[in-house]
Amino acid sequence: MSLPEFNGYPLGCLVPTVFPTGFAQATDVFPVMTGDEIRAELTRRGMVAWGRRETFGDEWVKDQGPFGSCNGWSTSAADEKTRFLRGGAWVKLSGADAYSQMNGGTDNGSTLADGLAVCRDNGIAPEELVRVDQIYTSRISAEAKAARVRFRGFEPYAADTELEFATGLLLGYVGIVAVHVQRGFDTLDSEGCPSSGNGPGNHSVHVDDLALSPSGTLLFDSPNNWKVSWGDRGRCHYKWDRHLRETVKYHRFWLLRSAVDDPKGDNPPKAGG
Amino acid sequence: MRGHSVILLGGLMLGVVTAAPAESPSAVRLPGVPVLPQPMPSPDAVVTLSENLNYVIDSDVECVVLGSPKGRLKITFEKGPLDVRGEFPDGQGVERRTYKGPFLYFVEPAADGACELLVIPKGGGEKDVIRRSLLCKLGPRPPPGPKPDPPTPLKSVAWVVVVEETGVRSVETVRVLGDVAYWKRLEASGVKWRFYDKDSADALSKGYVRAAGGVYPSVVLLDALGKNPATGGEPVGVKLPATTAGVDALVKGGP
Repeated sequence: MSLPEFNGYPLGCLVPTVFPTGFAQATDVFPVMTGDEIRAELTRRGMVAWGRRETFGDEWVKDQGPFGSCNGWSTSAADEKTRFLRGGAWVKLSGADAYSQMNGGTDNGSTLADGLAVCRDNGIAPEELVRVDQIYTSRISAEAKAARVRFRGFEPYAADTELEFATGLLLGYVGIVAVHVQRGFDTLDSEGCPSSGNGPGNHSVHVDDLALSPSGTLLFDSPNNWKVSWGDRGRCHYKWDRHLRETVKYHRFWLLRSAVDDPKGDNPPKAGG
Repeated sequence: MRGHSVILLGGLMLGVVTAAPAESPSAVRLPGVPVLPQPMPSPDAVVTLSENLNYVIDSDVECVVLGSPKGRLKITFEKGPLDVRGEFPDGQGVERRTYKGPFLYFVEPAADGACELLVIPKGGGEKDVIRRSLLCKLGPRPPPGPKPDPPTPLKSVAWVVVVEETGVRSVETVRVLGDVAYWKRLEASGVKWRFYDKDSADALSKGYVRAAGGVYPSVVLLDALGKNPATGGEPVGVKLPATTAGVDALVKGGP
């Protein structure tokens, strides 16, 4: 099976044969905010929740290369940013390594739920140990495999509605979604949104901020995995109704609440000494 | 429309608390004036508002809170009830206060100079407006452009550890935790930081959950050896302050 492509990038986010279950759910985790509450809080913050475009500038934008590894790169980006946001050092994590753990040995894509499991259970090796083209387990070094466990996410959870996902973003978490890439996707409108693609979803991206348009629509701020030259310095906005309301029916969107300490990193001492 | 009698919050010394003429308890409670032995301060006395002070309007009703002239005050809304630890304009030293109202407004100086604080209960008219005179003092400011100086920490504070239950993280909590610019400034001052979910293996095995003592989100200050920077003994967690200014106060003054 060969993956469809867009501008040389294979679209490797697969629709699961069965909708994934067995994950902690947003509604089990915290009270979901209402649309009015979310809009009020965004207004209070000057229309943008976090200013992550400034925090996570050009150097943080990924390039998945000519491989169907989008899900690996969005997962590694979420893990990488979550570590940083809780005070850890910035360690670039390899989307290729994450993908190698999901693709079953062929470059035929993966599912969002695969990424959640890899992030939570195994961890992801640093980019310095796994290159972008090392997408198969057989090409991953023993050192890289051993390093994965140091960079695991902690307590991811699934979010199935706009308000669940938006609440998580407003609480500071980074999330993963599927979007449907089609012709015109790299042309952004005045709100920074690509043309609509309300198919079942073929591309995985992460979302790290939430904004409010002047008309009161929630904008999900998302860095793509296609270098800084794509979109608005590598980013775009998505709207739920235009880009996500169909794909969420097929793919398990999720957010990451925390991450483990790297035991080899600079960590606080034990309390009491 | 009911009239508001303002019962001044504070009055730590007997005889200093004053009440406005009306008899009924107020739904909107403002800090009192600093404690002075003589003469008896009046509600109209000017309150000096510096950056280290927590000036909190504790209200049972939603209010519009303004400063005049514009730009002299920064007003931040927080949903109560909240515990706040720090210094207060009508207090003495660092203390902890519990604000019970559902509508809390934190007033901070944004620029030096005199100003008037106006508190208008929602739906109220001119006669319901509460006015206070404030003198904002920011102290020495860096020239425009450079970031504010990071706090000068207690010499031995090496780490600020926050223990939380991420599953019940609130919007109010994340206004502090999510201020990455603040935490990076703190780091630049030599104080490192880390957030933990209370269920994580690290938080449990390293004793941070024990130090938090069931209070979440909790701030646990550590020296380089993991000791309490203020006492040299066991670290003790305190409730995460409602503002980053509150965290600064902890780092400067210790738990």
